[in-house]
Amino acid sequence: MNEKYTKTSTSSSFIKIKAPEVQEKVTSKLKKTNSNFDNSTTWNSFLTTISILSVLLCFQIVISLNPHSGESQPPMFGDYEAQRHWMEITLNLPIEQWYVNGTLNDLLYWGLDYPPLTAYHHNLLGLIAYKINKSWVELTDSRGFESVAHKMFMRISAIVPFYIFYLPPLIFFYLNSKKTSPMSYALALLYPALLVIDNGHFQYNSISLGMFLATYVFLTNNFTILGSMFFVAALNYKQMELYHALPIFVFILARSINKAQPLNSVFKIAKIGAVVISTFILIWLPFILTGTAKDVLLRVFPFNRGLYEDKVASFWCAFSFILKRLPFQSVQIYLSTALVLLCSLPSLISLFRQPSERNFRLSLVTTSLSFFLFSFHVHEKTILLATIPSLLLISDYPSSVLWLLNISNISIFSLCVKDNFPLSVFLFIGYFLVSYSTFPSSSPLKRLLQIFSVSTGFLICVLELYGPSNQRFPHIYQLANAFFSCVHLLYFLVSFSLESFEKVKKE
Amino acid sequence: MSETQWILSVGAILIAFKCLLIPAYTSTDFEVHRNWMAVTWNRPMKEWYTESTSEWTLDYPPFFAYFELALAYAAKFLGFDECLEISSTPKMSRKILIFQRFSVIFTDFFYLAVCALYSFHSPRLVERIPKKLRRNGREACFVLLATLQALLICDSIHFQYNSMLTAFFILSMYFVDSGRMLMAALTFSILLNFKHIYVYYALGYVFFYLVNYFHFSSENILCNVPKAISLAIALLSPFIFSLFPFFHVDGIEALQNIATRLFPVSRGLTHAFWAPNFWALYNFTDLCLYRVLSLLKIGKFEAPTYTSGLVQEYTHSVLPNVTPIGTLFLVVVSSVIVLTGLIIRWRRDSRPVDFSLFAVFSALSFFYFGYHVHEKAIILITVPMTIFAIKDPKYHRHLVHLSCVASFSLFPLLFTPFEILLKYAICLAYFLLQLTFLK
Repeated sequence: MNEKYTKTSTSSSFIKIKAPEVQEKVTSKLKKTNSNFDNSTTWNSFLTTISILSVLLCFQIVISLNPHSGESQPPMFGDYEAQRHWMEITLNLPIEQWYVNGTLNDLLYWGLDYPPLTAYHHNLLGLIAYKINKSWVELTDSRGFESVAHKMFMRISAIVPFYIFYLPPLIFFYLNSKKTSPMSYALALLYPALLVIDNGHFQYNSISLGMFLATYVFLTNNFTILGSMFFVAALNYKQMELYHALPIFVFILARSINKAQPLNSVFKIAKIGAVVISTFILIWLPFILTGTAKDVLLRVFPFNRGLYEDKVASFWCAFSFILKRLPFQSVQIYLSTALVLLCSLPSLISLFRQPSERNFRLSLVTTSLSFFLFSFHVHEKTILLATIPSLLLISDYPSSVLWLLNISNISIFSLCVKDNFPLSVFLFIGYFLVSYSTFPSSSPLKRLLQIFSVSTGFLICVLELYGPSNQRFPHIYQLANAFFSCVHLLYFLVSFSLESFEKVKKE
Repeated sequence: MSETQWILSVGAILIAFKCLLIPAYTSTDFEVHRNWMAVTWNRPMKEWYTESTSEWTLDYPPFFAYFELALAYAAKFLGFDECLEISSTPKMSRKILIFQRFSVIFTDFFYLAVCALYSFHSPRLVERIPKKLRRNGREACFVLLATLQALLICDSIHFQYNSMLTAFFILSMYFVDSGRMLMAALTFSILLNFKHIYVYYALGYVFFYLVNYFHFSSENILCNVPKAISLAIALLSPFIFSLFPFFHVDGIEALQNIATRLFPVSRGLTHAFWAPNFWALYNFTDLCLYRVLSLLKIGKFEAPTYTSGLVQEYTHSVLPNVTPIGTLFLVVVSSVIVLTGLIIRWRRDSRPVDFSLFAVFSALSFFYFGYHVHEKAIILITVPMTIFAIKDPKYHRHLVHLSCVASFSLFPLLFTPFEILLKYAICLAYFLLQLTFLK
């Protein structure tokens, strides 16, 4: 790619990044001379990529030195302590006790509730931690352990998988896409909500999301077997990946069906099914052998936990002030399932009828959005499952996707405040300014409306920090944020669903 | 992208980054600046340069003291009264941290504005670049100046107000480029009254003005007289504004106090961390000679004290001692030789040599031979060098090289775990940005 670049534009080797409009001019000129010329090579993709990555690394480290969730907040601490505790449990206890309540494994204190791959990963991390400093992972004695060295270890352990799992498929997608401009590329890589959750709040979302992105890349490049294996792995790292299961299933199904050769397509589907099942069995083997698979299942899908946690931008929480007066509390769980399916159905149908890559991306976004909005037991962090696939859509619908990304940043701000990390708002404002200063919108009115909406969101964030407190409604601003984000997400759900029925001009 | 888009996006990323850096490590300079704010707020003017409750006494020129007073007013107005307490031990709280960090971020807006002014509007910046690439040159200049790694490390982590001061220098260069020589001299003189370290550029200015401002052709040598007078007025008026209030309240003694604070000769030839200059080599040679001669038992020498990491006067063990006057002599000799060389080249090629090069060489000789040089002074070289390299793409290579050296020389400033990671990441990112935007 670089060779091609230097051949065609040695004269313009002064600066490699080119502004979109300049780039357009250059490409149009080049197209005249060389019709096969690929868009993505008009900017030096290698240098641009590594310089964006280095800026990204700077941001990850600077977020890392800010407080993590539950920093010096006994007795329960936060997600950071949960991850550390899992390392402790998986390292010290035999595998059959990991998910089972016992004297040494108090499930009420951050009991393991993620699928087996997470447990294996934490076992590995626990081993490394043990090699560095035994006191980090000592059984029961290490609860609530905090030190600078340990924070460093944890932070690095969250940064590394970002580069191994998450970035390669994303970069691959962008460098292979015809429409990529350097700016949309940079905005996708620098999406701040994921950085704040993984490197600030502390979780390992980049692993499951990275495997999901890898699934997308493999499936769209016709490596179906490999793709479905990766998806099973993602699902077994974090059960939330179920949000993406429907579109992926439909996409594989629609691409495998060949009306001319029905026997062949049945064989194909059976093959994929066998691969999926055997991958599952492989991952669960230790638990099946020790007879604790059922305990794992019960921990992973806790139906006794309630509809939502904290003030999350899901439909049930944001509209709770109306809903709790309505008489359908008892059937809420069926209602939520029905609504999720109903809302994801349109885009799934469209995907089944025309399994194009764009429809696949759209349906991943809409399905995960409807799960986020209507499903049972949703966290603020789960919004990432909807926004990460939308990163793949920036080139298609820059203005709506950037709007969605900015709203998602605002929606996790309450979490940041709880983690004592309100400075994250500057990161979100920075992202807002960059995204809105670089991308022209289709119509100025729409753009103005979006800027107004995002600014309102930031106003709510400021109120969350400095607003006058209200005795009667102590969580009024968090609820306002949830309501604000929920209304926007409902709009995105509708607009992306409608979009999947639009005919694309080029595709 | 258009000019505004570049300014907005680079500025937004940079400011966001600096805001996230608020909880990062701060050096003693943090307490130094807090103390100055407290001193200027609580004490009458005549005691500013004599007050010594805290060991971190005010040792910058009066304009900086005025600036600290303005900050103190802002702190009072915004309710950050904690910052304004004179105390002999360092004071630190979340509120003080927030106020001081944001005061730096606030001055960064000024720096960004000046960078944008210079990069996008300096008439001389892209003269030598082929027409097609001029826009890129301006953008590169803006990005590389705004994100300068040395400023990020010194201001937003270590804690100082270098970007505000650098902004004055760039402003002065902007005036030089647009031919407004008096304004340039005035800005430079204001800058000198903020921080006297910028005297490093003085010889560069002298030599450049000798060639570019005065006309020494035989016919009308007299036309230089009014020019000299107006230049003198431009140079002296900031000094009057800065020093006269002190003279007014306390007579000549006040000026003596200021002078002893500004030029403390009892600080030793090298700083606690040796700056990468000639005296570091000198100390090292002395150390080696001492070790070797002691091992061989030839003569008796006192053990060196310059490796202690303290700011103090010291004597060399084997090599002769170096006095401040001696270093000044070396500085003047080296810079006169180099700057005269530049003027000779100018005459020979009859093509003007850019002012930035004068500034680079002047600052370089001060850095290399000066007395008690801080490693942070490398900023004084990298800023004009960046501009020079943008103006003449032949020298991109040298700029990248110099920046790498600058990065390495700043590494000892940060030594806490996260900041160690951060310094490598920042310098790596700046290096890659340079490669992306230059070449």
